[in-house]
Amino acid sequence: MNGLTWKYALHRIGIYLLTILISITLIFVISRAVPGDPIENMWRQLEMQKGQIEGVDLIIDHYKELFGLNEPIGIQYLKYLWNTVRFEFGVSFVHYPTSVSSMIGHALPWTLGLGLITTLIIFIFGNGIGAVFGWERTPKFIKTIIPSSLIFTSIPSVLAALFLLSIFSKNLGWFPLAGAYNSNVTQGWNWPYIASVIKYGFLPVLSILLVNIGWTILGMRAMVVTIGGADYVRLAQAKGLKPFYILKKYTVRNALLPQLTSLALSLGGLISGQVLVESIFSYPGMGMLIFRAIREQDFNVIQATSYMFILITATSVLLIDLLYPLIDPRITHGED
Amino acid sequence: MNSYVLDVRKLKVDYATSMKTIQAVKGISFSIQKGETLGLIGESGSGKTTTAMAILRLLQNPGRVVGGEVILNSDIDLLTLSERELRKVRWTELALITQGSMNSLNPTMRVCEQIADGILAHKEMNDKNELNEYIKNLLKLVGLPERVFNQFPHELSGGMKQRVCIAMAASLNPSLLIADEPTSALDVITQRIVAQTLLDIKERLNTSLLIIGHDIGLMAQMADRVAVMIDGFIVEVGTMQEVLSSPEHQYTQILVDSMPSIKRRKPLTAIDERTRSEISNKLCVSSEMTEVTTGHWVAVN
Repeated sequence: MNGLTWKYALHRIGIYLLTILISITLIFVISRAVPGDPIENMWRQLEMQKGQIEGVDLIIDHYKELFGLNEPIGIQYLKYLWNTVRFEFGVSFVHYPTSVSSMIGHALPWTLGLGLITTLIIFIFGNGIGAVFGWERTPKFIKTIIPSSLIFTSIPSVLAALFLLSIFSKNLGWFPLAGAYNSNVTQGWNWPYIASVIKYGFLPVLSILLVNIGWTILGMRAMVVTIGGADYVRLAQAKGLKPFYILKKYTVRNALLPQLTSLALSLGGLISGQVLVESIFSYPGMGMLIFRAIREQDFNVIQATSYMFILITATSVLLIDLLYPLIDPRITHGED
Repeated sequence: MNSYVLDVRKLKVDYATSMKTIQAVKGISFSIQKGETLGLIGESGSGKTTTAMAILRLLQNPGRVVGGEVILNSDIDLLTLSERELRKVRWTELALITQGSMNSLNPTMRVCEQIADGILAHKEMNDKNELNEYIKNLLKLVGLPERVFNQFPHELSGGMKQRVCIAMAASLNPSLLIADEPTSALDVITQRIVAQTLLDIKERLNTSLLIIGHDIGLMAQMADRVAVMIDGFIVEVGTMQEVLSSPEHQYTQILVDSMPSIKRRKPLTAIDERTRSEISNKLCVSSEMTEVTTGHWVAVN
């Protein structure tokens, strides 16, 4: 009848799997299409610095064998797919022999935590504030502060991060300069550790928040103003319903639908913004990992982190897609 | 002494922008008796809907009532009520059926919830089953199948939505229903069904009805009396029969004459701008009305 149907869910999950397959294939193709061979490059460079190395061709060939680069491209692709699905990304070139999956295992929780919290805050507060700004009953003096919510939206999150870092950490010393937790505290579910995580995470969250929340506020405000003039809101007033009830059930409920879509669309931007912010705060997450890997040309890590970013984005979009019909009853009906 | 359900006296509505002020309704008066249907007709922009919204106090910015009285049930002046008092009167005494019901229902709420919230805003009803039975009965009254109860607006046709709106407006037995072009945007067969439903409900509840529209043919079938509006003025009020058969005011004559007829085809002519502004100018000088026959009032020609 309504809400989430199996057909709709399967359809969305199908698209989700296809997106991931295409993107990991792209990662494979791009890394093969890049001129030069990372193993050969490494040894030739070493040779240039240290002079002739004996049997260098043999060594290179050995490593190629080790990484499976001598096999036909089709077999390589299938093996790559199989490994990727199992989250087996091999070992890091630079931090040999640490496995890439264990590096990701350490970084991922930080990134997910940071991303989840900022997204939640942006969605809840952004839409809440936007609704207040758009509501016709909100006093004028509150509405006049709208522009201040937009001060940060036109600057990149990198600048916001540097700005906050220089004021609150360097000059005022309220917050730490780098890292994700106080290394003197034992890790685990104890209050000092959790407090330090919050303290270290505050500025990174704030810098992503300040840059992104303005758009949510503006979007919500515009939606609430538009829907406030809709026939069904007018009829709700004619019914003698309480103003706040109308705002909640009639206006905001309908205004949230496009906001959810724009959240799904902005997730990619949110995550790439987070990469830069993480590297500025030396936050030990995925952003930091990919940033360092690119600098060090650590191909396995670059591939794996790119894949993880795609996975995170696609999964969040899938979740929003599955959530959508629960809020908008019209969605599933278009499908059948 | 007649007891009026609605008595509108010298109602004036302005739309004021920073550039200029537009007078949309220029001091009109009319009244509706118990059980009576009054049709308010006129072309687009004549102030019909503005009048209805002013009575309901639902004018949207920059619209503002600048003068007059709207007396409900001979004792309450709607225009002076506080917001709280107004909320109490709405829906219990004064219900609205809006223009273009396609958008009158909240797309994210089920039909039953939308009918229920209006009822619950005014009445304690703790027994959920009783409430559901009451709503199902309302839907039956307007000729809708029971499945509509649990459906969303997008699952209904235009005619069904309009009937849901009628059921909703009737839910608390209001003493006055205001229907603002209740059948616009519907095909003629559906128009007929909706119009009939509206009349049936009105009959059953014994309420009064103010119906707004520009379809004179449909109005002739529905209304007992009619008021003709042009440019914010009422130019003629009387029984439907009399106004249509012997229109006294120049504008009413043009309006009645413009009705298409199957017996005698005629060129489709619009009222020309000069005639309209002449009429309007005369009314601005004086909109005083005289009674030609009992209950048939006409503005100066």
